[in-house]
Amino acid sequence: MTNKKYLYWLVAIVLIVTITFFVATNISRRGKIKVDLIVAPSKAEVLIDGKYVKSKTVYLKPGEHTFVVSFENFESTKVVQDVSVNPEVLLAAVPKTDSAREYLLKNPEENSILEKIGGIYQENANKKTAESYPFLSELPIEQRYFAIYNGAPLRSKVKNGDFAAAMYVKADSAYGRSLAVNSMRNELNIDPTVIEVYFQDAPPAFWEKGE
Amino acid sequence: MNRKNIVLAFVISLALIFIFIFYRAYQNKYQYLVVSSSKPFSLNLFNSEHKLDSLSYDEKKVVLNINKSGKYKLKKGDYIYVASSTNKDYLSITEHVVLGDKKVVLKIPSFSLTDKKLAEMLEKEIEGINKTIYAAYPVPMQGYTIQQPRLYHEGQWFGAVLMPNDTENQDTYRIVLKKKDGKWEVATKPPSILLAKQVFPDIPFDVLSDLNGKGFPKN
Repeated sequence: MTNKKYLYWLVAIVLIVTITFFVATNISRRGKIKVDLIVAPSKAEVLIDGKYVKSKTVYLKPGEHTFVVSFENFESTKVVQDVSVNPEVLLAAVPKTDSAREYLLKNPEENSILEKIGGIYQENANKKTAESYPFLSELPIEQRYFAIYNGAPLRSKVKNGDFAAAMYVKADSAYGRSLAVNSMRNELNIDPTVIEVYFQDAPPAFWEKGE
Repeated sequence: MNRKNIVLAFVISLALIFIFIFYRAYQNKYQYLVVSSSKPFSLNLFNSEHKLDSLSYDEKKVVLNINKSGKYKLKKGDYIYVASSTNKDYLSITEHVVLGDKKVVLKIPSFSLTDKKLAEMLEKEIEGINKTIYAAYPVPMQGYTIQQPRLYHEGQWFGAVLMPNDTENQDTYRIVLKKKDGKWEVATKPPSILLAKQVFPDIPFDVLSDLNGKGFPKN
């Protein structure tokens, strides 16, 4: 074989391999979403729907997936996220032992990523709360017989990744509490079913036998 | 390759490109609606009239009439669907559905019985329901009465307002019971002044919302 022919064959093989790789990759990613994983600590192990993944960029089918991040001496974190809604997944394992804290002291870059993710978690939580409960921005409402203000949910059962909020009602009479409920409908224009409402001063009226 | 062939190849390529563009444009006009229901149903789909009342439609203009679960190709747009049970004791469901860039999966919610049918069922169930409530809260119920009792959906949910004897100083509470394996159980433990969907995620929203609208004096 002459050098020229040898070169042609080489180019042809490289081309075929490249095209095959390109086509195969495209087929395997068809209908999937590019998902970026932001992981802290960076060497932590990530499981997606129970399968271990190495890469920080993965291609997943649209919909909800379960992500678990775990690292030695750190508490594992599980995140259930719909990647069609948000294709960036923040995964931070939580330091639980002195060794974990020591590791972060020795690796300030890892610590700063962890803090950054914590900050983003909080920011997302605030944003999601504002989107889900826009009327909370109108609080507090303070009137003669009652006051309504923001508070932390006490009894809400939320799935991982969801956010809950609550409204606290301060009123020392049943009349004031019923006025507060009317105010939710008339001033905040909401159906109070959408949010947990905690009546601070209402005496517990119903208890189970033996309680 | 002579000039004639080059022109021919160019024209064919251009025609193919146009065919592809028109095909994509045609495809882009349509979207799939996947309808599923666990019970027999009949569904009519109408074009939405975009009036203030978002559920208004011209009932003479049926876009689609189906009685089988399946995948249906329709023009993208806003529609109103009316789903009815084959059993006349059930209410029909009227809802909005938008076909946009993504396939829509429409799972028809379970049909609710008519108010008349639910009222008939309540007459037979009320004794057992009262017994369950009084047995669960024997002391508190001495100061309360069960008011505005109602069955919901297929009669498996019960809701009522617990009205205090002393309406001046005590709050009205709301209670929901669920019938499980033939027995009534309190689902809102304990009964609350307001029932939130996050606190009681297993109870249908419409049941909670209906009860939250009852028993508060209008100011």
